[in-house]
Amino acid sequence: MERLNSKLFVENCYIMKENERLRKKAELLNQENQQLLFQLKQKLSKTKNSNNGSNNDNKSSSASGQS
Amino acid sequence: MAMSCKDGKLGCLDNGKYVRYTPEQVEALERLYHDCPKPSSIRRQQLIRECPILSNIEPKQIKVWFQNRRCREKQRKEASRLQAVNRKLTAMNKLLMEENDRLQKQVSQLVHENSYFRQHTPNPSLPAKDTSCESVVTSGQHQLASQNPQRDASPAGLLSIAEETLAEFLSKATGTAVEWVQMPGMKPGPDSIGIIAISHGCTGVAARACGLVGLEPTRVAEIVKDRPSWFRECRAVEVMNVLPTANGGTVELLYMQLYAPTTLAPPRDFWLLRYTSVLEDGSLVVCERSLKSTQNGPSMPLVQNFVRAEMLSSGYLIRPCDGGGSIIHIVDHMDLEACSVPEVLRPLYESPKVLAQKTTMAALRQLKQIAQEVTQTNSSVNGWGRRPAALRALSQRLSRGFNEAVNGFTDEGWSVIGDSMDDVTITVNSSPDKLMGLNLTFANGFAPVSNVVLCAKASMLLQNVPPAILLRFLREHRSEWADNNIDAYLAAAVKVGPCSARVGGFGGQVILPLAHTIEHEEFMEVIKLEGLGHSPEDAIVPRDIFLLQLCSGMDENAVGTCAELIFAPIDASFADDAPLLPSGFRIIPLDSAKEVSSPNRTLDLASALEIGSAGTKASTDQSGNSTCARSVMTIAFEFGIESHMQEHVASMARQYVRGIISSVQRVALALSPSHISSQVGLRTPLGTPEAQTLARWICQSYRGYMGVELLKSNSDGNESILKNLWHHTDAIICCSMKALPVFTFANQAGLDMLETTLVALQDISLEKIFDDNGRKTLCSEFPQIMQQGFACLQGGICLSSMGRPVSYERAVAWKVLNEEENAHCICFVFINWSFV
Repeated sequence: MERLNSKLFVENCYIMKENERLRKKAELLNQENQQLLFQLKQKLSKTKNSNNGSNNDNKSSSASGQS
Repeated sequence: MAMSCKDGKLGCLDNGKYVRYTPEQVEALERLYHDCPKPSSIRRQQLIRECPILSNIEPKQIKVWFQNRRCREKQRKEASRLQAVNRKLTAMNKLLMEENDRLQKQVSQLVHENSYFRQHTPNPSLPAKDTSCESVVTSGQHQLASQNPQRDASPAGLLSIAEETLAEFLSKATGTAVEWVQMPGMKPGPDSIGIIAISHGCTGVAARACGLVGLEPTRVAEIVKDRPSWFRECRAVEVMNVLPTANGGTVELLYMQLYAPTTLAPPRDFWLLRYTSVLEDGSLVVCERSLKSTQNGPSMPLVQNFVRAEMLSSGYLIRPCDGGGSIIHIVDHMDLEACSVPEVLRPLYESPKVLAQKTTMAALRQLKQIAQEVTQTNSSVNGWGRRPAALRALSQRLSRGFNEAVNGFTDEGWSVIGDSMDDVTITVNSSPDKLMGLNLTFANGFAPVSNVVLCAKASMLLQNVPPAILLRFLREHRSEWADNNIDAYLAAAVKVGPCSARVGGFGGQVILPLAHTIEHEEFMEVIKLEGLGHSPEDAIVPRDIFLLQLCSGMDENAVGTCAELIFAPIDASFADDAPLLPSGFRIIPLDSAKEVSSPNRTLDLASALEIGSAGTKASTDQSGNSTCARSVMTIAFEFGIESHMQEHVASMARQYVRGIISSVQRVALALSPSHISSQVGLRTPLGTPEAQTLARWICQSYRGYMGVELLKSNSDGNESILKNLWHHTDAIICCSMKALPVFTFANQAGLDMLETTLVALQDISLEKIFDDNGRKTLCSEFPQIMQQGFACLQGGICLSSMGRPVSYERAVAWKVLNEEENAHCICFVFINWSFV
């Protein structure tokens, strides 16, 4: 039992570490996705604006600077 | 004990034969065992004489029977303990596996989304219009902030906020919406209250806990919603509006006030939406969030003197657990408006550790406490004792009364008299009935004697004094700061008549323990001051005075807790509703926020020096040398008086509190480690001469065995040896020379490698850090270390205290000898170590 308990404990620790790692990874991916989404949105509003005929240099420069 | 313990019916004779007892004999023996598990030989002979049924058994056999019986008992206890630990670990394991599963799904989902986005993100340099872009943004799969539905005070508007709060809370409780790191100093393990995590670099401060409690989900929800019952800082929660929702849930609008912990900061209030509902999988959720004016929701006007703080989506996820009980996830996330307090206090409002201790873990503790009380209703004194609810209510009233005194709200009838810029603030309350009647109704309390309550309070900054140690001193050496005459005076207020403060002799002080919480982080006691008071009938006859006292934060290992000593004179009847007028001390450590950002950081010399230079000009600066740990101490003393005595008592109280401040300063100076070695500026126990001596012995012994220096730059001073050793890049760790060696000292690298602190280090045994292989090597080398004095160990793997594998190139172990050439401990140096 003692052995089993220490095994469980070590296992728990490992899972916790692993979860931590996964969480980090998810966090990074999420950030990246947000950024990509933001870029898409920028792109979209820019194309819309240019379709409307309004000139918006500021926005396009900031959008291209995002990458 | 060498005999078989398996069967208690067998006794063993010298010649190895087994003797079988009759059931009657066993029964008689069992009865005797129950009365006395370890009878002396005289007692055993007596037993044989008294009990005819045993008369034919040899005394030796009886002795063996008792030995075996005790052995069995011990084994049974051990087995049940192990089983309990096993249950806990298995549950934790299940929980973690679930979390792991969820996270894996989340990651794969994100990876999937990511590749999708990548495919559809046009090269920024190409302004080509891609129609698929539109579908991503407008499909509603990813709602953008600008697409929030209309928000207003209508039920629909509130429900939309409620649903959003729920989603945000869940993503924090089980997901990655906040970057969680393990709470430093809280090792997950069989004996911890749960898995505690704190936020790392997010808006505001957040803390999360996950644990098991033996209570049904609905009961858990009931308890956590009753915030004032477990959150000591919570002054009031008022439900302003309740709306049932279509899905069977409830949306409530709450106004909540929190006490300020010290006189130096204003209190906080919150305007909240709380949503209670049941999820599809049967889990119960209680989540809350601040309502802000920008959201067009219902608003709550600002209240004078209160700072409006923000609660970000927080709450409780309560899942029913197989075999009864609940698995509970708690998230607390707040922005406490740290900028509204003096700079020196900001760490208190910016530290997720403090939030975790005060709120998140407090909730979990309350749940565990109540769960334990439920299971132990019939058993004898344990935890809060036989009347847990009544004692808990008393402790709550003490704490609350102290908080009221410190805060002195005008709506409670307090007003400041005299100069508010004075070091000691005096406030009076001429409606003590209201003050005392907060939680109780009593027939004969203060009213007949005292119609005014006067409070003298002050806050001071302390440097280099561990709060727990200072508070322990204040508790154990009451006569160092307390004036018996004042105690007698205070006590008179709760009696029937005013009493003369002419007290002659010194009475003795007796502390009677009353009750403690499961984890002993808080306990209550009665102090008996013998023969101090005078009975109103006969002023000659001395009378004992009783003080009810609440102590918490006495454990210096706890992270982020404040230490409190709150006491109130109490009538000898100890009635549950006895009037209480609490006074006391609260010491809050301040520097925790500095370390919180990096959980791996341990006590170190460099940070100790940094903090000193970054500090603000403290008003009660005691010395010019570098500061390490700072804390703020708040003192409040309450006196029940008659209104015509106000002037007189005010000046007396002011003098008294000043006197206490100077006593505390005197004690603090004596306790401060910098007093001993102010030049080094190291924290305890590093600054002590003992540490310097040990460092010298370590280096001398190493040189003696190995013929080379351990430290490269060898300078003569003890202090610099310690400093060099402390900063050495290899892990240097000492352990005791006992049968089961435990660690006694480690340098910075050693602490990093073991992922521990100097204090926690002493709970780790040597064999714990080695795997099977390493243990074998160590066992074979150990005789060599003892005989030759040293051994070189090949590279290998060892484990940190968190179970993380560490590889090292090689290691050297040697005996550390003291001045008399006696072995003091064994020292290890792990060369070129790194986490695998």
